[in-house]
Amino acid sequence: MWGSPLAKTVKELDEELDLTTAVSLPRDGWKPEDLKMFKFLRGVLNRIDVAYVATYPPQECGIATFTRDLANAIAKYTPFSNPLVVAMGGEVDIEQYPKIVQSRIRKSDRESYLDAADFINDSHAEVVSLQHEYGIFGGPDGEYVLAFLQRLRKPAVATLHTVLFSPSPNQKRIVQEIAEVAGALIVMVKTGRDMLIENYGVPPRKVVMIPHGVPNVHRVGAAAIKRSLGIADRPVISTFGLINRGKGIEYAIRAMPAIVRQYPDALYLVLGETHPGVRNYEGESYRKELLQLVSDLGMEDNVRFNNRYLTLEELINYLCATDVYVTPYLNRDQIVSGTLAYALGCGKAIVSSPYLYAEEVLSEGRGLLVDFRNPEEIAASAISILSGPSMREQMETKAYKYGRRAAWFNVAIDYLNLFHRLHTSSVVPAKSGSKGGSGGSGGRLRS
Amino acid sequence: METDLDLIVSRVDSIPVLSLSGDVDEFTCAKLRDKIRSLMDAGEFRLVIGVSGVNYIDSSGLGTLVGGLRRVAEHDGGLAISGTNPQIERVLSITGLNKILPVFEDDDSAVQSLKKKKPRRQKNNSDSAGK
Repeated sequence: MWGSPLAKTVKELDEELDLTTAVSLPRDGWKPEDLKMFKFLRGVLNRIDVAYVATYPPQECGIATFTRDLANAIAKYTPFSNPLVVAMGGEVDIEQYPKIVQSRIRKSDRESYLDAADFINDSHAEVVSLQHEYGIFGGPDGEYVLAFLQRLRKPAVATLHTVLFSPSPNQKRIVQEIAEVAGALIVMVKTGRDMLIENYGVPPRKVVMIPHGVPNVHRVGAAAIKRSLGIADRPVISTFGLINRGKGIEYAIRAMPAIVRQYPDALYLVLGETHPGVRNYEGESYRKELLQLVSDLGMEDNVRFNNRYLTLEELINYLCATDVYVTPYLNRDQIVSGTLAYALGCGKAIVSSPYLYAEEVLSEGRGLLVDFRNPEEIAASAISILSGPSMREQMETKAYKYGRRAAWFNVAIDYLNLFHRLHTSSVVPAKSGSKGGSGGSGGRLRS
Repeated sequence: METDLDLIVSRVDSIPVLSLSGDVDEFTCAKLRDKIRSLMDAGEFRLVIGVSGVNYIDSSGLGTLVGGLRRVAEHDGGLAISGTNPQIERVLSITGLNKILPVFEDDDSAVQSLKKKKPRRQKNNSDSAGK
C-alpha cells in the first residue's frame, strides 16, 4: 500500500491518497483549504527520489520482499517523491510488476546492466539503493553488478544481505569494488560491519549499520489468535519462510517427539512454500523428505505444513499465535534472516542455531541458541520456554524491545537520513532559495 | 515496554498541554486525533503536544500532528511540540516537518510561543475538556 498518512491529512484523514494522485492536482471535490494545505505541505516536506535496484515482487524471494517493504516504508515519509525500481531477474514479465518498476535487468545479460545504469543516469532518481546478494546478479559470483555500478553516475548505497566470513578471492574482490564505488555499505548487524572492516579492508566510514526492518506489530495475547486459527490451547512452535535445505527443518521435526512427550498437543507449524529457485532444480523433494520424516516419527498430528504463500497479515497472525519460534538454520555464515527479524518484531521467544545473525540479535537474553543439527537441544530449549512462563515473558519482552527499534518506520528514517546525506554530499550546494531542514545534513534538498 | 499511547492533559497559563507517553503510530494515532478534536470542540485552538515520553513516532503519528496543526491553523491558532526527544526531533528534521512543527525544550517555552497567536474564536478555559 502506497498510501501516505502525511498526504492523507490533506483530506482530513478520510480519503486515501496514493503517490500518483498525491502529485496530480487539482482533484475533484477538493476544498480551497485542502489545496492550500496540500501546496503548503508540498513546499515543506523533504523529497528524495530513490531508484531501487533489486529483485521485486511478484518475484518470490526474501530480497524482493525486503525491497518492497523498504520502498513502502520510505514512501510513507516522502509522499511527494517519485521512487522507481529497476527489477533484477528475467523470470517475471515487466507487465506483471507494479507501476513503480520502470525497468528490468536480465540477470545473465551484461549489456542489460549497462542499460539499467544509463536508464537511472537519465532519470530523475537522485540516489540508488542497491540490494546485494551474490546470487541475484549474473556473471561469476554475480560480478555483473560491478558493470552496473561503474557505469552509474548517481550516488549509490548497497545493502549487503550476505557477508561471507571466508569469501573466495573473487567474492572478496566484488565486495571491495562495490565499496569503492558505492557511497556507503549497509549491514544489518555489527558482526557484518566488523567483518567488512577487518576481512575485506572496507574503510569504517563507509559502513553503516541499519537493522533489518520488521512490521509494526503491537503485542497481543496468543489465545484469541490461536482460536481464530483453529489451534486453540495448543502449544505452538513455528518456522516460516521459503523452504530450502539450508533451513534445517528436519532437526526441528526430530525434536518434536521429545516435546510431544511433555506436551502431547504441541504443534510445529512449517509455514511457507518451497523456494522457487529450489523448486526449479529439485522440485518438492526436500518437502517430501520432511513429510516422510514426520510419518516415520509418527508426528502427523503434531507437525503441520502450510505450503503456500502467506500474506503479511496471515504471517503476523501465525507469529502472534506462536509460543516458540525456531530457526534451525545450517549455514554458520548467515548474516541476516528476515524471518528471525520478524519473530523479534512480534516479541517471540526464539530458539535458534548459532548462525552469525542469530548469535548477535539473540544475545543478552533475547533468545536461546542451540548447536547446529541438534534436535535434543532444540527440544530441551523449547520445553524450557513452554514450562517457564517467567523466563518466557522476560525473553519476549527483550525480543520485542529489540525488534521495536527495527520496525520499518524506524528503519526507513535511518535509510532516508543516509540517502539525504549521500545526496547532499554529491551535489553542488544550492545558492539562495534552498530550503533547510534536511535530514541533519544541512545541504540541498528539494522540498 | 509499552507500545500503547497514554495522554494526559494539563494546563500552563491556561493553554492545554497534551503530554504523550508510549508510541504514536498507526495503531494509536486515532487516540491522539480524537483528543485534539475534543480539545478543539471545547474551543481550544492553541495546543502544546509534549513528546518527552514518546518512544517512537511513525508517519501516521506525524500525519496526525500535521492534521491537528491544520485544524488549529484554520482558527488562527497554533500547535507546538515540547520536550527533549532526539528520536522525534530527528524524524521531524529528516521529513522537513521541523519547518512547521517547532520543538521547544519545555512546556513553558512552547506555551510562550503560542501566546503570540490570537485565535479567532476561543472559549474561556473554565471547562475541563479533554481532561
